[in-house]
Amino acid sequence: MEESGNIAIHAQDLRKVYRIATRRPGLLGGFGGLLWPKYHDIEAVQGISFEIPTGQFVGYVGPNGAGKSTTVKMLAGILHPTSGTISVNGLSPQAQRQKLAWQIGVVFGQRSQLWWDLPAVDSFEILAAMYEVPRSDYLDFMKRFSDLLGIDEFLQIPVRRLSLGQRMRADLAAAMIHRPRVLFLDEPTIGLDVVAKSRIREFLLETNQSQGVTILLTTHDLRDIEELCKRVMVINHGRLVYDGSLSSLRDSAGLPTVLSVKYESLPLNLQAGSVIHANGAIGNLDLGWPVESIDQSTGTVRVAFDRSQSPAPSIIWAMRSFGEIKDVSLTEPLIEEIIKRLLKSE
Amino acid sequence: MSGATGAILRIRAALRLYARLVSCSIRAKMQYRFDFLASTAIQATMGLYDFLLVAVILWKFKSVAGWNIYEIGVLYAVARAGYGMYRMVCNELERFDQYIVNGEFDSILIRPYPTLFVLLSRDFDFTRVTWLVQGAALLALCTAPLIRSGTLTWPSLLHIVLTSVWSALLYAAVALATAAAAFWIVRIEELQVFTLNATSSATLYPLDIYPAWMRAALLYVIPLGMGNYVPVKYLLGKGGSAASLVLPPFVAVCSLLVAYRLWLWGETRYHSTGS
Repeated sequence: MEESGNIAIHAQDLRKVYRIATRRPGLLGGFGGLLWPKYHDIEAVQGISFEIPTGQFVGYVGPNGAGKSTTVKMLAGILHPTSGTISVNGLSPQAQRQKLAWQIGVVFGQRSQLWWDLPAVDSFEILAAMYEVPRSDYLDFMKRFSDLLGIDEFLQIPVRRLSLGQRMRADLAAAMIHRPRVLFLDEPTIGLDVVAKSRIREFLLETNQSQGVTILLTTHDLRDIEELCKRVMVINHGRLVYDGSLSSLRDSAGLPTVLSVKYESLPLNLQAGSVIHANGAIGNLDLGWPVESIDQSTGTVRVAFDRSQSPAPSIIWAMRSFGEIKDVSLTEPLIEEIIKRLLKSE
Repeated sequence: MSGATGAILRIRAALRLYARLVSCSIRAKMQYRFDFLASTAIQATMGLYDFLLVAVILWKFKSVAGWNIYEIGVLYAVARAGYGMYRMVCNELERFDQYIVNGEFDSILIRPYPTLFVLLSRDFDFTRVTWLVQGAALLALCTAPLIRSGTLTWPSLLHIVLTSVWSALLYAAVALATAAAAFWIVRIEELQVFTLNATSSATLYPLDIYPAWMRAALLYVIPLGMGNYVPVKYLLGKGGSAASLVLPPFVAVCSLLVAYRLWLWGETRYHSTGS
């Protein structure tokens, strides 16, 4: 307990190996698989270590299948690690699962914890009973979360009829009813529209800053990270490939937004790798925006840039000097792209 | 002293929570009113179908392996009532593999209670009350002539009622062990047919009609026969000793403990599913 004074989450050499039965092709193979099953091991998490101080808001990002959910599930006491040790608020999630459950909140974006067929308010009542929340605290909770997340808008509607955004708000509120000190959020913004996302981000920021709740958030959406997290951990193929501040992640990999510009006719002087300068000149200096690729058939030029460094209009302005622009679109950075750059910069 | 009162308070709180969760699950099912009523009606009528079949056979042959129709009726009633009680409380065990296949078990593991408690509180199959009613009716019907003929005494009738509780506990133990297997083999439908469905049908009839190996299996491997056959046989004066009355509760509790150990072990092997 002493050493965990202000460390909320501590993971040491965490590994998780899944043993999967190998399928053999064909009917005979399938039959053989029943009699003599063959297994192969998938190492989903391969020796991860980190410490998260109390009150920190950490983003945990990585592509699909990188081991994000597996890590979170081990921290929350759902999965047992193959090896390694975990301590959350000084407790072992495996040996002291029930004790720890009083202190943590868990939200899975993909799966609701609410009672599907009952009005949303019933879920809150049930959870309040389950976590022995006193009546007065419960009433405070309802008031606070009506203000913060607007849950009063849909209390009487059965959960199965809520919109995805409403359901997510309800799930977040449900995870907070017992005032957890640590929150594990697995893709809480997945599939939500911009308005719903920003509402949830506001709420999370408030929870972290004014309540001092430690939050570990996994996400695909780098905007979540940009707006919420001071610290980012990047996982790829079960290993941490980056752990540090968002600004130094930007320094080492950039957060490249891609601007696609479609020309009436493709400018002949642009090539993949050319660097476009603000004044419309082409150079090979670092001070500019590199052309990522050129699509000859559609006449589209793709340029990567960092939103925090240069406003998109200034790039469009510069690119006008190469020809008549027909169409413009922006693509937000993908986590896969960041990892590619991280690995390249090493 | 204070430790004991603490434990009592905890149990009371858990029971209150259980009642609350169960009432919510019933309310959720009432949302689909037609389905609820239809399944109650089906449970009420279909359960006795097997017995009618036997009754027809007995009508012709008078007795099977030395058991007459009333005696078989008692055996049957005990098993039916026990099965009804078991299903009422443990319905989720029967579809537990769904929790493993969909990763729904995650939601159970994040709660500050034993997983089995959270799982069972998700469903209380009220429609199975009909099986209890069937069992009671059949028991009343069959014991009246047995008491008149002096085969059965009033105290042993009370004992027969108690026997259905041991029967329920044994069903629960077998179902729990079978459900725990899902932690390793994921799908348990086929296993259930073997461990639960076949055995519970087989123990509806006197075990004397089966070959010795099968009788032994139903008494010592999957001991459902301990729940009705052993005590009822003794109470009807067909053999056995006082042990026939002591053994069933003892075996039931031991089986439950073993099944629960298996469950706890399985819990640590849970794999969840990727998202």
